Amino acid sequence: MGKITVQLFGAFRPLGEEMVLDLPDGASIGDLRITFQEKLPSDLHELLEVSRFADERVVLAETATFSSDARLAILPPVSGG
Amino acid sequence: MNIHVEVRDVTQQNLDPVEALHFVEAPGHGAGALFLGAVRNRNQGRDVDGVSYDVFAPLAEQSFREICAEAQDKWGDGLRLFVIHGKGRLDVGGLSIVIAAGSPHRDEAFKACRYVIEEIKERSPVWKQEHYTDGDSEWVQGHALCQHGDHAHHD
Repeated sequence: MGKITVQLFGAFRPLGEEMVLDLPDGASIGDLRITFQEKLPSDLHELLEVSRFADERVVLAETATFSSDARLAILPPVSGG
Repeated sequence: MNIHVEVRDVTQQNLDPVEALHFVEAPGHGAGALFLGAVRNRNQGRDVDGVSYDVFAPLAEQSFREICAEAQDKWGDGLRLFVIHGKGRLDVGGLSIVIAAGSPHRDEAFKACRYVIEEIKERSPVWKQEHYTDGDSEWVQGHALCQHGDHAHHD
């Protein structure tokens, strides 16, 4: 079991700077998405569907796995410039 | 190094177009193109007071580097590129992004500058929260990101 930190951005910011989740070793981004959704208010579920998880280098595929102490980020649709 | 990318806290220091233009100068360059993004006073029928920019800085800078490298692949590695994006709250008229491209001839500089801003808008992890004159605030709806390996390079 690992403690995964998810940094929150954009419309997820009202929930705080980050969220710490317990996930089993070998969990995938798809597994993280399910656990993360359980912690969200229902009005953010639709936003989560179009959001992606990332580390500091790359946006991660749903099948990607991560270390048991990973520090990731949830990225809603972007609007920079 | 002929690429400079940065995310800067605009509540501490403004973005500076002159700094960008100086960076892209070179003896063999006869052209420099500059793009400035600024906060508008109106968006989608609402009066805007200011915008807060939220940025996942390490990945944003990584995406800027990748986009600049793609521009050099397209228009020559002699191209010099400068990208700086603001983080934090700006009032109307405040600069949120400065992009400069320097090249031997104007065509590459214009095209590269345009390419970099369009790709940043679609790919870089930056979010705008608009603050309206009526006191309300809203996160601007944006472009959903592609997962790693999904991104189709397009011309």
